[in-house]
Amino acid sequence: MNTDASKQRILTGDPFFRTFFRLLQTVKIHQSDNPLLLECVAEFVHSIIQCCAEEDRLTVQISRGRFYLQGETLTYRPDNLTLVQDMLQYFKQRGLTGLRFFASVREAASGQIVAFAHLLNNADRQEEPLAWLLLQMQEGNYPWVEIVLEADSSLTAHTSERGEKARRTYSYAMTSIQEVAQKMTSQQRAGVQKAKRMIQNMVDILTEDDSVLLGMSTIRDYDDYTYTHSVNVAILSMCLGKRIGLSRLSMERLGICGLFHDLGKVEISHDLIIKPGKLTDEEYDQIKEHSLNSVRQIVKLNALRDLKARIILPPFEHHLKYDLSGYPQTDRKKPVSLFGRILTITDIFDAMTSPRIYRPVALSPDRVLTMMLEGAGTEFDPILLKVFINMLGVCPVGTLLLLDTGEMGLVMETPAEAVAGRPLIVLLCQGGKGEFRKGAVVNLSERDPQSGAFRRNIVNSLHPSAYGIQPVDFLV
Amino acid sequence: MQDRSMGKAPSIPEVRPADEEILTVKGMIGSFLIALRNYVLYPEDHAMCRKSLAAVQGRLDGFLAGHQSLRLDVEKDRFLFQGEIVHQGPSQEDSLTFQLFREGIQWLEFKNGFTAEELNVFFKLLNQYRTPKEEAEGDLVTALWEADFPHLQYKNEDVLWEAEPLIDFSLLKVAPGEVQPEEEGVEEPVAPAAKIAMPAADAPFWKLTPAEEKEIEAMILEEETRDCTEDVLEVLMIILKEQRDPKDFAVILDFLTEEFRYTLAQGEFSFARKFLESIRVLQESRAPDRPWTRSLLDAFRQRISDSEVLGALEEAWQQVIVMDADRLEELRRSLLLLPAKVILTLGPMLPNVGSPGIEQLLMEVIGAHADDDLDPVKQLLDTAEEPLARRIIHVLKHLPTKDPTDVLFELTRHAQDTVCKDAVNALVDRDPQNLRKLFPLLEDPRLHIRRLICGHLGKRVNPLAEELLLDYLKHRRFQLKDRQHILACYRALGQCGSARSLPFLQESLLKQDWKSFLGIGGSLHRQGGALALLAVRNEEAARSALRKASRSIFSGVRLAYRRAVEEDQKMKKEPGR
Repeated sequence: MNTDASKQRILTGDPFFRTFFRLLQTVKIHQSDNPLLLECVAEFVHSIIQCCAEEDRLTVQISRGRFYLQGETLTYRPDNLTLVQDMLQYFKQRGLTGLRFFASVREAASGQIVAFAHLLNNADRQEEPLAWLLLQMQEGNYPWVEIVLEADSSLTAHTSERGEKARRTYSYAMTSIQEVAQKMTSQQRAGVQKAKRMIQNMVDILTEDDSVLLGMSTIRDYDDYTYTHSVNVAILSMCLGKRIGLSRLSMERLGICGLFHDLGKVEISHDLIIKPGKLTDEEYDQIKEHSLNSVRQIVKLNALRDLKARIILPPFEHHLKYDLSGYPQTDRKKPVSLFGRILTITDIFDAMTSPRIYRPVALSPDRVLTMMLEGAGTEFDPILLKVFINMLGVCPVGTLLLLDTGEMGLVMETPAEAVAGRPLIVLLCQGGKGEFRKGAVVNLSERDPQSGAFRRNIVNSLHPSAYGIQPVDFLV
Repeated sequence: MQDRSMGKAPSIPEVRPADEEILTVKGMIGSFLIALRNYVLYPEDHAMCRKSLAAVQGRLDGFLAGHQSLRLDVEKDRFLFQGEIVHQGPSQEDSLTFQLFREGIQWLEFKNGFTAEELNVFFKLLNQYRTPKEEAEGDLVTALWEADFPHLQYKNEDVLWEAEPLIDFSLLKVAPGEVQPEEEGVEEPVAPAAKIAMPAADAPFWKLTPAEEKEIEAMILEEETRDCTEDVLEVLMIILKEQRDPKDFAVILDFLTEEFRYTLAQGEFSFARKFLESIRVLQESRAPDRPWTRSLLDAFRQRISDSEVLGALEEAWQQVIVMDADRLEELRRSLLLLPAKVILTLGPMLPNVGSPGIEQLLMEVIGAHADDDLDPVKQLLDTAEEPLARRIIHVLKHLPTKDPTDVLFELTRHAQDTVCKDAVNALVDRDPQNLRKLFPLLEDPRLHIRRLICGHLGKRVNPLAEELLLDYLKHRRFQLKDRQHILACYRALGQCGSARSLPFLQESLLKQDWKSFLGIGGSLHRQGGALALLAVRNEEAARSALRKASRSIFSGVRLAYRRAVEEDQKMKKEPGR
């Protein structure tokens, strides 16, 4: 069996969820010997076998409100969103955190499978659905399926390994761009090998799950803003690229563009970059030269012509704006390229959410998105901005929220199935010395079972930097 | 650490593989190494490479059909299969194990379905990065990533960062200092999250419409198939215009040299033309605050006229680029924007282009440049072989303003006869007056040149030729005492001459002296006179003289007439004589 196809099926959950859901619905209506039901059983079994190309089992788990298949985060698509939401609800009503189907399901009698579907359906009528299910399954004969009681260690280990890899990659990417900038400053030839490798690593990470890298993109460094900014822009751009369906190679190129888009700042005096207060016209003109400077610095890189040629345009365009009203103003009146339009969005978002010397307190991510929306169609490509906001969620990852419970929490992610964009957050607990510690992960979509009201509501969004919080310490 | 594996890497089983399995893997690695060596020694399409590739593929297919995958753990000097050594070699720079080890590759895993194409690309990459490259040229790991093999996985360490400590992000300062949010009033007046959350409740606002989705697809298609050549040229021109530092200006020009070469190789001549026009405008702007730009731009234009850059044209037309009329016109206009020195590069291409259209175009361009400056042509002709020289002569022949007489005349001394002939013809065709200059060639040691000159002299009634020949024969100026030559000159005189020559010719034929009475001496010139008179057109006087000679009482005269008639007939039959 083609492993790629199998992996694709796992990432999208297709057709497993579709056939599983259909089985669970059909079994409610028809007798166990009904041909339609038997057809559903056969399809369900087939869908499991298709996902078992590499392992002899298919493990479906829920962690932090998301489905994981074989340890991989399920990819949400518009066409599977409702189904996945329904299945999440189904699992939740039964207290199920996971199921593991074995390849031996192919030998199971259809009657057994139908009985199992009945069990699942009946569980929500029990007082303690999960306990009841466990008992029933123990008594029955279901060797081809088992209940996964909690997110198993391999899932946790895999997530943690991914987090470690993301941290290491971010760190190396940052030192790579630092090294390039330092060499450029001292008139040495700088290569791109390290930067390219790290961008490739990032593409690998975000292909599996972009939430980890999005979390990393909240890193802020007030003292050396340009480097974290460059890495963040690379990450955000690649994540946006992934959302719109760019190929791996294009994401690699986009990432490199992001990493080098501000390379031209090495030509601007540090004093000017860190100058507090308003800039004079002349000083602002110097700052505005940085996109052209970036192109010049890219030309100076010790890299093949082909690579340099492919990464020149987006850095040149990243301040041009969608309607070309930005800078540099030239005779060239061609529309901004796709990568240029992506950089424009991600650059502004990261810049405005970062504290700077002339703006000591950054704007909160959600506020920035609100402001950016006003520039849709003039400063920003409206469609890409829409995708970007969709990607980050109404409350972007790293947003510090004040809740009506008096708690504070950092947005971890907004699952596609979230109600009205209500995110998953990690609560922050304040220690005795005023420091923050990581608390529980809560889903703001959770409702009180009695009243049906949401357990927690957002009162306000705050600035992590104003509280000295480096979101990544709590997120990844 | 980079893990280009899908899912989890298979762990090493505790069970030792069967001896048979180990032997199979050893055999496979052996054939792998042989094939790799062949890739080093021979071109990829060589039979040796193809044969050894097929051998490896056969062995791999056989193994993978039974095992689904083959994972080889990499150590400095050996490969391990399920913990067993299956290859042990020296840890030398050129060994495969060392190459992989050096790159930080810890294991390779071939999956069932690994195709011959994948194997071929894999070999090419291994071969390409056999020895460490300059940083700019990349490395094996980065190249493997970009190759994105569907059935080959690997894991590598981050060897480039061996000793580099990781950044402790918690130590990074997130804000300027001790900012108390309450005091500083950093809390925003409204709850922005709620503000932005409003459209979220309204799902259609965030959901892309089918039209938007289509638009995104189109954007991606455009970006992923984008030819960035024109953009790069335009952007770099913008930078050049703004550039204040000569060093940076030179750096940009260096890059533009490469980019321009690439543009030509891709057959993107319209981009090349626009770019060269911009360069010309920039050069003509003579930026007074940047006087140094002129010399740098001059040098740049000379550089891009060299074969190192323009050699790309040969790549373009050897490939599948369709040279339609528009494209050719853009190329022509581009080449016309280069300095005349480009002749030195385009000239040598002429004999090899193979396409009459392109050859014609290059000749036109060379002609246009030569019409401005003949020096590069002269330089080119110093060493030009026959095929090139003949083409250049053709160009020179049609120069509209510049006078290439000297150059062409120089070519009449070329070692190749055909070249001399073409040069002579070109000179005469350009200006019949050139016959005067060419006349000394009438005594050229080479027979065919003499004949050629004679032919031109006698081509038509021509007062200049008549004057020259008359003087030559009448005053016996010839140094060359060759009978045939002198006769040919007489005949040519007859062909080009007028009534003016008749007295001389009549006298030459009918002269009565004691030698003619005795029938000795002077027969050559008598015969020459007769030949000439036979060639004279529409002159009754000539015919009358010939009649007189045929009835002469002097045997020498009659004989001369008879021989001349015979000779004339021969010459008519064999004009090349």
